[in-house]
Amino acid sequence: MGKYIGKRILMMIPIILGISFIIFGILELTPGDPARNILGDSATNESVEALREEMGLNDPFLVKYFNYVKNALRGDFGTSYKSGLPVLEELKGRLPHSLKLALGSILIVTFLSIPVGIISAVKQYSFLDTVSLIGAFLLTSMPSFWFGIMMILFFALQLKILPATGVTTWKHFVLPSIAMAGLGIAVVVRMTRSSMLEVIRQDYIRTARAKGASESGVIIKHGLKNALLPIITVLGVEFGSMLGGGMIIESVFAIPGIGSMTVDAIRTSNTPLVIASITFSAIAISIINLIVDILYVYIDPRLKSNIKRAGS
Amino acid sequence: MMNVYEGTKETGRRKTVKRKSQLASIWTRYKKSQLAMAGLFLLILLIVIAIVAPLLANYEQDAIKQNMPIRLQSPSREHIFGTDHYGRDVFARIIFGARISLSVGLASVFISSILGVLIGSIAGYYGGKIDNLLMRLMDVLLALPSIFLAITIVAALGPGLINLLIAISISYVPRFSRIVRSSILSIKNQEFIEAARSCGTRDRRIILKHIIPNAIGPIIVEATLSIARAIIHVSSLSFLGLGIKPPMPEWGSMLAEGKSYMGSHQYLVIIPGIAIVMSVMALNLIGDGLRDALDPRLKN
Amino acid sequence: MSEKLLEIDNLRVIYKTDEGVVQALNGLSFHMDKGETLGLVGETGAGKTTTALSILKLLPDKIGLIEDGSIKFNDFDIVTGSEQNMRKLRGDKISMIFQDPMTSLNPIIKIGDQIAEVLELHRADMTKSEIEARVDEILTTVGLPTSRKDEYPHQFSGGMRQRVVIAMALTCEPQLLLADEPTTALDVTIQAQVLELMKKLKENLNTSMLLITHDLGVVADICDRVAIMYAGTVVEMGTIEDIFEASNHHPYTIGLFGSIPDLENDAERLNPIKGLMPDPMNLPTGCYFHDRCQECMEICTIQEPDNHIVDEKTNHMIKCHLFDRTKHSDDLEGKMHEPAFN
Repeated sequence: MGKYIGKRILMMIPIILGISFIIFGILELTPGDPARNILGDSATNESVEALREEMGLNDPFLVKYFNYVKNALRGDFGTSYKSGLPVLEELKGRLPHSLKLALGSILIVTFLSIPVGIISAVKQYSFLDTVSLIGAFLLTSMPSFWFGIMMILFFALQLKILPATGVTTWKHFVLPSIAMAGLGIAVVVRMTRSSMLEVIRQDYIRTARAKGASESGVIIKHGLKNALLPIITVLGVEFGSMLGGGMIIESVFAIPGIGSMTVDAIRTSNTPLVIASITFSAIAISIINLIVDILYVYIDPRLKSNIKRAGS
Repeated sequence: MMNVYEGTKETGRRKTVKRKSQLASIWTRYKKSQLAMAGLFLLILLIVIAIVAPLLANYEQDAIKQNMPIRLQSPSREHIFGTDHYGRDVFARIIFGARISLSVGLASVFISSILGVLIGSIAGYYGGKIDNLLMRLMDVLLALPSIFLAITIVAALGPGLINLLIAISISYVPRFSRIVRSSILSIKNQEFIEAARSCGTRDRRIILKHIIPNAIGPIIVEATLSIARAIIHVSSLSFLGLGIKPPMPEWGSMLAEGKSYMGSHQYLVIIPGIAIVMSVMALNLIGDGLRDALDPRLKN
Repeated sequence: MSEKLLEIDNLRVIYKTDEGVVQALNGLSFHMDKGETLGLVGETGAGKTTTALSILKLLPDKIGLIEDGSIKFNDFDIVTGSEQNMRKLRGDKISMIFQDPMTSLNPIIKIGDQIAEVLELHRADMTKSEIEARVDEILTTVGLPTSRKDEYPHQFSGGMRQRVVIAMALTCEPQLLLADEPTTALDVTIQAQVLELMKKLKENLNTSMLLITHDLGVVADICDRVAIMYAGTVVEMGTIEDIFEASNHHPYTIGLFGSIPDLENDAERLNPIKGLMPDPMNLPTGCYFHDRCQECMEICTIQEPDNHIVDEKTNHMIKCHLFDRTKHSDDLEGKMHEPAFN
């Protein structure tokens, strides 16, 4: 098992390198001169050129990328053009807000969608099933920022029961978490429903009933656990895009997280910050994928035997 | 000679009859779903509105030009969707916005599906090193949610219509190439391909004449759903100020502008949102309907 | 006189499908005594599995419905019984062995835990260690090493999985065991082992068994009595001797025996029954078998035959107009029906 995890961690490295290379490459195309941006229009050409040299901007692309990776491994992701602070510091300050938001959303998705999906499957074609399918369909057809705006309109401006913007209390995270969860709720409800429908047709479910197990016992103990693999996969994907996908929701609710920082950085061509934040998102997504893969093996003993066989 | 000629004509006709009947049966299955038909009508309605927009309103006068004396007027008979903070007619901006959203969605998916089909079929058909290289690249890109890739590209190129189009097109390529590759792998070794190859048919012809037609179903479904996704992504990026620049009447940027006035003028954030949701819903309904019609086995 | 354990009377079950209403059981009646093994024989689609699922009241939800008739287990009425009471019966008093051992075990639960679950459900007074001891005991009984109880189904072969299924069905020492083609999915050599095991266990536990099969060889080996099913009804029922040795038979039974290869009699070729099972959505009038029957009479197409007892001693029953004493009692003695087999 340890060997498997080790192998999976090693496999993450080329993916992360690949992503950072692509991002680095794309952002290399950014127009404008960062040195000129920093020093302003009044600076002389000589001083701009000196700064370019100092920042390594005149090196060939591959050298720049190599230096970047080398420094990044030491924890140095460069300095923000705007504030002059190390990029890592900027990220650190903003991470807690983004993390709270993503965790809140994934908790909502998990504890709302899985029960709804199960009930939908068990009571297929019932009123509740229809309602949840329509709800899921609406949520997939709605941009998350508009969902958020509509909730601000209703809960913050109309009913005045929840704050619209800011981060001071847990209440501030309620609306943004729900807005961020929207699409995930839809995806996970659908996946839970179809996966459960598949499982409850299986012979072993009938066996469990023939043993005299109660209906809830049959559904939870024998059904859900077998239906869990695809559900966990989509939960992982959703959590990944939540961790990195704060850009839109953080902008709507004015949350000073990594996402809104990235949008600012893009608007101001603050390239080191952009590269770092997108690379961090990619790493977060890879880690979640790894966790999902490890969970698989714990849930499904057949996979464990496969790994053992492959390992020996 | 006569006989030979007659023979080819006969098989030729049979082929078209067969293809027609296949399309007809897909259409029959599609028609059965009321939701799918509703989606189709909704989309046709939106397209018609987008096409006749210049007849309903004047682009320069109503949608672009600032008219401060009539700013922030609630919906009335004169301005059925009201006016925005520059006194522009919201209805005019919505219908011209439909042109932008639908055409950017269509164009970007058109580009990405062609690139995706190209990459996917080359990888799937030739296999080996090319396949490995292309697919590892796609895997890396797929590790990021497509909106990320789009944002990165926009970050490099800067905002604007064309840059947005490029960004969205590129970011959807990996999904298409995956789908095409896997359907090609499942078709590649079937006997009719072997037969074509043994007749000396060239690779390009085999791919175009035999493989693509058989993989077209999933591509069309993915394309329909991708247009829906593209409309959401275009509006999201424009909302962030990274997409289409004002004063162009894009739904997402209308929302971003209207957000400042949402406390007193709710219609400014409700109406553009409904426009987005309606077009996305129409395309999602069509996509789901097509999926069921193309592969009845998938339906539970 | 032995005690009746199960009595099914005039049972009618339908399946509501998208294509139409399937009449799966059409006035099925039979009974079982305590300790007895009844073989339920018939072609695919005759309603054998439906019979077993009806006894457990596990017909597919909203699709399978008991329309009429009664099922009495001891004195408990299964048809009207509550779900809660049924749950107490299932796995404890009545248990079932399913056809396919490859799919009827939960793939992600250890087999020991799957067996223990039955005890946890029905023996609330047992402690953990008692349950564990019982699981070990039953595993040994079915011939599996106790060391393997922490393994998962995919680590076992088909025959071993069926042993697990049998162990699961027998842990609570049920009064009635429903065995739905327990050996069909297994290799021939394993079939014999599993059958031998079931025979032994049944005798030790004095369990009654309803053995569903289309294999007449298995029936001859293990059953006390046999019921032949056709289109959702029992067309002939009697002791093993009545079916295999007596001279009076339902034409369908004769056809069924005629379609088995026989090593001893060097027949030219097999005599399969002509035609197919009737469409259960559109059953024929009169006797359901009439359009395939070689002896078909006019009345057969109009009127459903009654159950005729042809041997009072053994209660040998045949549901066929040929054995209607009131109409042609003179024909009955031997002349009508020479069995096609010995």
